[in-house]
Amino acid sequence: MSSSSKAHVAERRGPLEGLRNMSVQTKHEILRMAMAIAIGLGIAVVLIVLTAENPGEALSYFIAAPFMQTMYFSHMVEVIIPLMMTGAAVCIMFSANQFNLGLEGAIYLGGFVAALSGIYLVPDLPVLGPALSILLGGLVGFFIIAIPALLQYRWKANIVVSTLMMNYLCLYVGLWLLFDKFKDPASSQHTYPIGASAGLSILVPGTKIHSGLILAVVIVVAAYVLLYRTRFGLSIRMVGQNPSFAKYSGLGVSGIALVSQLIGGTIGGMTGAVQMLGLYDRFQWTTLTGYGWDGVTMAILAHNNPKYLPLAAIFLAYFRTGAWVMSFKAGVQIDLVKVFEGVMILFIMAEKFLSGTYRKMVFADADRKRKERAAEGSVGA
Amino acid sequence: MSVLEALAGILSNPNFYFTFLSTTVPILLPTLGCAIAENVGSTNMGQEGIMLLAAFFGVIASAYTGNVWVGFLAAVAIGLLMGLAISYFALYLQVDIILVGIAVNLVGSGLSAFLMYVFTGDRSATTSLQSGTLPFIDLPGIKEIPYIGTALSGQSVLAWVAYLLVPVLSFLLYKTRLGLRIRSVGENPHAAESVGVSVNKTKMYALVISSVLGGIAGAYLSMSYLPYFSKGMSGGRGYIALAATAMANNTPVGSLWTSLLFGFFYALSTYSGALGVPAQLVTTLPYLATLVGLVVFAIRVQGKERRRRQEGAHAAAEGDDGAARAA
Amino acid sequence: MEDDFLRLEHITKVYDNGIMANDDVNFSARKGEIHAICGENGAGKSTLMKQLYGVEQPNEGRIIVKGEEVRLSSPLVAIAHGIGMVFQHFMLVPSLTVAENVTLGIEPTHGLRFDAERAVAMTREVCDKYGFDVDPTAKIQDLTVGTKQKVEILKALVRGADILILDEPTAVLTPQETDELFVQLRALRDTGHTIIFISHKLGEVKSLCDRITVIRHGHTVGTYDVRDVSESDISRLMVGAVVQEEVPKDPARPGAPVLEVKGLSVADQNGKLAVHDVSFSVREGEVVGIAGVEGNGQAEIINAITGWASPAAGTVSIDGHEVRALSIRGLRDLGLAYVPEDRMTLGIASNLSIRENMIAGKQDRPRYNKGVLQDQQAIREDTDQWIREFDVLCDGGEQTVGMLSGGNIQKVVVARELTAAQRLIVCDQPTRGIDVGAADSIRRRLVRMRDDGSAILLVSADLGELLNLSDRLLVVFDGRVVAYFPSTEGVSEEELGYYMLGVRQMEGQQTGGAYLV
Repeated sequence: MSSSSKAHVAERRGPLEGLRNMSVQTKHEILRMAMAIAIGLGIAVVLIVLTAENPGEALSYFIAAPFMQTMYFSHMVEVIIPLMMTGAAVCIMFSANQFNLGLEGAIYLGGFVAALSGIYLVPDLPVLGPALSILLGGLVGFFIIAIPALLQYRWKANIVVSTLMMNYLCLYVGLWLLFDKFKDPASSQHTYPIGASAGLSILVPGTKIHSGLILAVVIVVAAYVLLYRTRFGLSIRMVGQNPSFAKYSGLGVSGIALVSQLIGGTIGGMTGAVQMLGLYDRFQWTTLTGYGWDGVTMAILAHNNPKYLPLAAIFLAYFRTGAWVMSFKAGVQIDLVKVFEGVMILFIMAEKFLSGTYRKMVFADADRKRKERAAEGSVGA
Repeated sequence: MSVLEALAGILSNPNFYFTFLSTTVPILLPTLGCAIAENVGSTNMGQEGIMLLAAFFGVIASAYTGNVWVGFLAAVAIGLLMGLAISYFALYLQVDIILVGIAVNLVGSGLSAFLMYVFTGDRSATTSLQSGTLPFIDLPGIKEIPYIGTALSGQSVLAWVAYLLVPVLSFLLYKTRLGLRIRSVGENPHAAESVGVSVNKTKMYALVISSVLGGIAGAYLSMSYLPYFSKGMSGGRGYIALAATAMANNTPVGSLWTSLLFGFFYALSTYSGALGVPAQLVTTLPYLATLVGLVVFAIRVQGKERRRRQEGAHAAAEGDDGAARAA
Repeated sequence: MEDDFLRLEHITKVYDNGIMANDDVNFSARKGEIHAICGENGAGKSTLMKQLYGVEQPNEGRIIVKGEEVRLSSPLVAIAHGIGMVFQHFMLVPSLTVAENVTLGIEPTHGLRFDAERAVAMTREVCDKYGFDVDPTAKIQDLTVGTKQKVEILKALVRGADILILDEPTAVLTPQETDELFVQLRALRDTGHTIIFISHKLGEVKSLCDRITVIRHGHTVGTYDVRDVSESDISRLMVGAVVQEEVPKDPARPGAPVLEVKGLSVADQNGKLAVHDVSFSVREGEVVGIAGVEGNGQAEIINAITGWASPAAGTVSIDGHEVRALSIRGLRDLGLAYVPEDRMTLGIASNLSIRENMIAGKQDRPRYNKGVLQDQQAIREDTDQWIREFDVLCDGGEQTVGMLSGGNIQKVVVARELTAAQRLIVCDQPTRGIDVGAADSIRRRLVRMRDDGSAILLVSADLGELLNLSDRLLVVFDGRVVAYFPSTEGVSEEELGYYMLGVRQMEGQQTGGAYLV
């Protein structure tokens, strides 16, 4: 009997049967993910309880803040936007197994150039203006990532180190441009205001949720379609999973690795632009934003599959909002969230975490299948 | 006044060399740490987080005990603990070592900032604490010598420690049993394993040493370079260390040279006012230099490989000719 | 009893995947002898030696060393019992010196320091004692392959090993280095060492060894005094017929040549020439087989055909296009399909699904694309059909390939390749590790594809399969074509064995016949 028809039968039997027929691997992934989240949350809760003046109140903000006020909810959605975008960028690069950590620089200068575009180029052009600014930001990201990516493509220069260096290079070039060339003389550290029509429009009146959300959703969907619904996406994943196999299948391995990074860089630059035009009225970043690192966390949570990015983004943004509210309502520093995220990464990525349980699950599964087969056999007979 | 003249002015200022030597220290220490880790075949990307935690807990321990040496020991202990934690996750639970580094940096920057507020109520720096600094060493006699005296005298005791660690680590790596094992494991773990050298144990030793060096660097930052802890004070030096190690081909002495290069530009950027060049642009120089250095290094490695292959093929062809003639 | 020096009794080893590598194997060696172990690939030699060196543990049986029953739980324990092993792939650290490599793990120290002088002295002492001409202060990376091997032997000797296992030690050596090695091995034997010598090269076994144990299909065939058996005898003992159902086929109707290999020489990874002046062709509608013991140049020939290695001399062309000038993509566009021997490295991406692995390399075909998107339905239809046709046992096409058993992974690879291109099919061990039924259906399919006009090059360790499928057959030995059969009619496995093991060799003009246009 063909195995594929077996799978179809399972689908017909309903969701519960589907869960039972889920592969052991998937079940174990879910278990491991849940345990990692529980450990991360547990540590955060313990730290809150130990340090907050009023732990009950602090915890209530941490756990439920987004539902307490419209503003908090709005903040959560604001946080979701860059998480989804950089998550998509890193998913694409990590799918090709390229440890490119250069998004920080692309985001910084992408945001800067978008701001400049909004100040000088299209200050009064609605809709098209912001679109152009975002495209320019993306272009900047493309060229910034192109440098380390090409150094790797041509000379195999270490991509981790070169992208980390690029980040600082971008920051200091940006700071120089800010302080030396584009600073509003009346201010200490920001540019002239971005044109009134150059910013992103507010999507939901009464909140700060801006139209960047639409772009973020589009990019996540596009990233998913690219990786899992196009032939190029399959090529990217083949390169990422086994470069020798990709070469054997006739793919140009280093070229595909290069292109995956360029796409990631472009999305990174656009992220910077969207953040700048959605939330700020002047360029005023004097440090790297951290959104690039967020992208790494997102890709890890989503297992490099953009399909899971919205869920992962809501999850992270939810607790970040809680921590943010805690920080001004209950005197607990927002940085707590980083501890939570770091711990989660460690356990999610731990190959050997719960490996004993995994073996047991495999054996149990094999046992169940054997019994099923035996039962089928006896029915047949 | 041209830039060159201004540069000459700065370079003839004895105080510049003092700054130069002290800005190099917090780069040199994590660079040496990364070099040890690279020698065993692991990339320790967590130096940022280690430095921050060590700097923070050093200040706290120093302030609460009133003894700055206790603060120093606390920083070292943090380095040790982080080294063990990194080993546990990277070696036992088999998390990708780069991701361990990223996670350690997240935890380090988050926990230090979080606890700073808990302990002090400050959000940006522990200036309200009396944490003190480790001793600065005056060199009577030498102090009076122009340039050399100004540059060397009055440096922190940890600066001396850092520079002395260069020969010490060279000795460790090239003259001791542990060093031999570290290099063997890094180059061919199967060879080490086949003669009973435990790969994981050796890696753990190297990662712990590496992280302790990061801990000392943290102590230097918050108890010498500055007299307090401030949020994110490692300032990307942990990442620079990775670059400096890569350019130094992972040797301690090479790490000294590349750290000095970064330290030089750091120091220069603090003098940029006199230089008439924007400080930010001066600060970009070490990063640019790294990119160029990486490429030069990569080209050299490739060239070596190509030569080896060619020689191999050449020898093979000759060997075949010989065999054909013999037959 | 003298045979108590080293004895393995009733050793049975079953791997986790269910393969029985050793089935009640008995082996014993005396003090001061060179004892050869011979057997075909997969006969179970390596498994046996791994158990003796503590890398694997037997499921059943006893190991007796110097009269004492031992449990060799790790290489360290084996070393402690005086057992040393020289692997085919050297276990050396290139940037360290000879002395450092030799003493790694038992380093002499002086206070904190690694005592380099003592390490050199220890190494020199062993060198002098056994007549090894090695400079202890030289770096490994500067040494020749032959000297590296001596360092490996030194590593064992310095630890006091008196039982030395050498796994095909001469495979990487030049003839001069081989001679030198033999002199040293004899000297070691004369000082009371026991040497276990694993080799396929019967000439070497005859000239060097005292006794020989032959293993076939996981069983011991027997132990013989080398003087009592001829090379032909050994060959016959090693190559045993496996009963296998023949795939019926009509005589080939070959057409124009597709693959032409002319004067081909190829270097291996170490730069040593592994293929010497090989010429043959494969025409439309025929299967050409290559027989040979593994490591005699087949891998390098295939690499040169499939674009993974460039020839040191000679040409390879497919339908007149020279392979050297083409990318792998270009070769595939010419209609090349390739079933690689190493399926885990080349054949699959284990974390991708069965569908994705089956579609890999074909993803650009119009059939699988609708505009910019992939045509999921077409992909599902085809892969489902292949899963059925090739009988891949799985939970459906979405399952990741890595979850399958080795045999089913092989079916995925074969399914993809045999449905990929039809012009030239290069198969390296296409049925290794697959159950009998599936292997039979793959063989039938190959014959059918031949009849439809494909040119097929088949490399296999399964001689029955080779004789059954091949229309013409080459035998390679030591990188050269030593025999050519224009028809496999009446050729026996035993006869093939003589050529594969270098006992016999045809004349140049006979083997030259393999190149047909």
